[in-house]
Amino acid sequence: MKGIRARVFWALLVLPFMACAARAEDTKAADRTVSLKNSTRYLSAFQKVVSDAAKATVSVMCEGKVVCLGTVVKPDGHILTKASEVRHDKVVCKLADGRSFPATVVGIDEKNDLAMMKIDAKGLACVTWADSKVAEVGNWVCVAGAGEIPAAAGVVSVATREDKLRERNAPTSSGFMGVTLGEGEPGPKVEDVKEDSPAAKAGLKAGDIILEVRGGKVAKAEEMIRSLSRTRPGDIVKLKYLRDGQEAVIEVTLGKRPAMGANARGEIQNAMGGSLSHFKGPFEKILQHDSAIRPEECGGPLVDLAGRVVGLNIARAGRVESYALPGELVAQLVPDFIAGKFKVSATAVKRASPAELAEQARKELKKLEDELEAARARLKEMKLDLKSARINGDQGEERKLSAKVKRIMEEIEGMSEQVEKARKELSSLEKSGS
Amino acid sequence: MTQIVKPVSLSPLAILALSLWIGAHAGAQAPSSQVASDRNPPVNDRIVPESVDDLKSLQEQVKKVVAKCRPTTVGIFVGNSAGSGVMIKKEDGFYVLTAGHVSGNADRDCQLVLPGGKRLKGKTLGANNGIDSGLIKVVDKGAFEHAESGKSKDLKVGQWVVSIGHPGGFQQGRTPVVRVGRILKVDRSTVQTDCTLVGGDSGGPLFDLEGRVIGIHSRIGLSLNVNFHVPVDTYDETWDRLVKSEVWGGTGGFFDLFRSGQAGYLGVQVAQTSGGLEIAEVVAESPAAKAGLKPKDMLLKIDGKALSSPDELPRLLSRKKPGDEIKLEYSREGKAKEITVKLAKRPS
Repeated sequence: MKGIRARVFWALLVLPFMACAARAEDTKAADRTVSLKNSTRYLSAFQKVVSDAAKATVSVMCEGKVVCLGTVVKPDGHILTKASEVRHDKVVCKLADGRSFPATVVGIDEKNDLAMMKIDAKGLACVTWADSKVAEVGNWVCVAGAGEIPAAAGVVSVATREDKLRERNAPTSSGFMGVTLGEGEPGPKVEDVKEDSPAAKAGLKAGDIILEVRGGKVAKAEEMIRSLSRTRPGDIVKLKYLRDGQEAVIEVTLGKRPAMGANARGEIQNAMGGSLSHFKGPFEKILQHDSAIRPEECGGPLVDLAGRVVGLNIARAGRVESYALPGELVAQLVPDFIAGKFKVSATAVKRASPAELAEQARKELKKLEDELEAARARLKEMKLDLKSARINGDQGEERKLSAKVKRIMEEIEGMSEQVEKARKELSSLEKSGS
Repeated sequence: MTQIVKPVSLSPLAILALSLWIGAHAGAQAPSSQVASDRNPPVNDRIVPESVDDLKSLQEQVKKVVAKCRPTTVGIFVGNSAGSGVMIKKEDGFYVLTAGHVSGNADRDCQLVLPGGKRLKGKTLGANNGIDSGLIKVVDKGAFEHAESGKSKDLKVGQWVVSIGHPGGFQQGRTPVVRVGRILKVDRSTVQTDCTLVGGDSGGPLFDLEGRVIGIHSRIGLSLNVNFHVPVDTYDETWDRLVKSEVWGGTGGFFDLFRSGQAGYLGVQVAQTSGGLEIAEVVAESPAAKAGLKPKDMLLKIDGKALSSPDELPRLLSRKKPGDEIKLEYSREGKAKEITVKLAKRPS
């Protein structure tokens, strides 16, 4: 039913536009009524300012698909990219001049989701980083893409600032394990395992001490959470843990984080208008701009109208926000990478099979549908209570109940969205699996 | 692709308004072919900037607007919701223009947060839920950075505009968030731009390139190009009612769900299409839903009176009381049908 409704709105809103476009022989009229932001004609105006940076922009490819962009930072073939998008061992960088090179990931800074790659090439065009204090709010910026035409353009929305997790909802698009962690010796301690969760299915138990996650040692709960925030549902994550003095290794197939009412709503609105990066932060520092980049357009340079490279795009974080790591931060990290300060565990990610993923999605959908059903039943009951409060003339109770009714209607709306989304995901998984 | 429109505050109430309040802006206005205006700086004529110089002159203008207007943008906390607003000055003190679904009911205490983090007390005044305008009075005394109002009737499609607000609600350490875009559509009840908005932006200001408030953020659609703002003229036109804490209006729309009203309640959203008045949305468990009405049904007549525009539906219903029965003629897939619907009281 939701799907039908959505299609109705599509028709209603878009038809007048198409009518305009069809009628508008006069292209100028169309220029006014249609958004320019994706138009080649508009983006071409930025071509000159971005031309140098574009020469240092590469397409990062895994299994023949562009996963994100990269920025050449040294002529000897050092290239930075967004770490969490590189999920294979075989990586190829396609340069602006058309040449392709196999790349090796030589360092990952998990804090900023940056990966340094190395290709066997010489004399490459590379960028010079500018201090982002020149990127004042309202300055126009553009995003170098794989071709000559910039990928997107916009303005600086917020000047460079420290990034803090509390500023955003938890990154719900990361993989979900279902454990409560505390601190233990020598690693984080599992305090509780959620029933039926991926962790429970893998056999993890309360009291287990986690030693390694994704091949990296973890000493604190925070480190484990950070490591998991780079995962996606369906990833198979290897854990080394300690139980009764015995070390053991298990694999957990991560699931989806259960959606929470109010959070779900923010998530839904933010996802309106295009997909977002899986990993959205926190980073050390961010420069926020409103260029509508796609997740796979992260990793490349952000350029101002003077042609200065003021940052490296690191996340499409919401409907209104894209983040770049500020130029001065990247400039400071590059020597650390070259000096080998950042180590790499394997970049290849093991995934559950399509059939398993579909099965997971089916269960997820069933759960959501049940929850929706239960919420609807609660609403019905509450409405009856509200009615009797009205009949009894108990105004205090009536106010209280009507507030509750509103809340639950809100929840139902959010849940319906989730169900619809889950249905779509399942059907696309079923298609890809068959 | 799909299109839905959502209000952009984080109000827990407003989620009900997820569905679209499309009737009022379904009638597209013909795009104006003349954008040049004496009052606008020439930079406004750069409908499509074609050179770096064009872009630079736009940039200069945008930066002026940011410097002048960002300090006038406020964050609003009222009840459990977070929204945005803009400070303005009148003879008798300071007010904050916001969205009706942010300020909600009249005479509620609220908190206003200036960009630097300073908090002020405010009191909600009136709201026109038909158009989603709302007003707040600044209770604390003092002098505050305030914005100048423009005229939304002078707006032209294609004109560049600056949007400021607090997406996700006010956040310490983050200045109000600036976005730039153009007006894609404008009529008396709605301004549409490609300045992206999201939850928490609701009530925030839209400025022209001279830094005058021309709209207030209201709701969004799925596409990044579908962002709706309340035209600023409506605040002036209804100022007396807003100041008197009057809460009124609605087109049978979702914003009305939260107000008790005496009019009969059907529970549909309608939109004007070339074929007539089409149901865009049926509210779950409403009289319309119980009577079996569905999206895409075309409404023809109520009690024998033909419905020719979306405004006519609320007008006819406003003459009815909850419990009244209406005879409703509609067509589904080309077949005409007739039903009797017992109107309900609007859910509070």
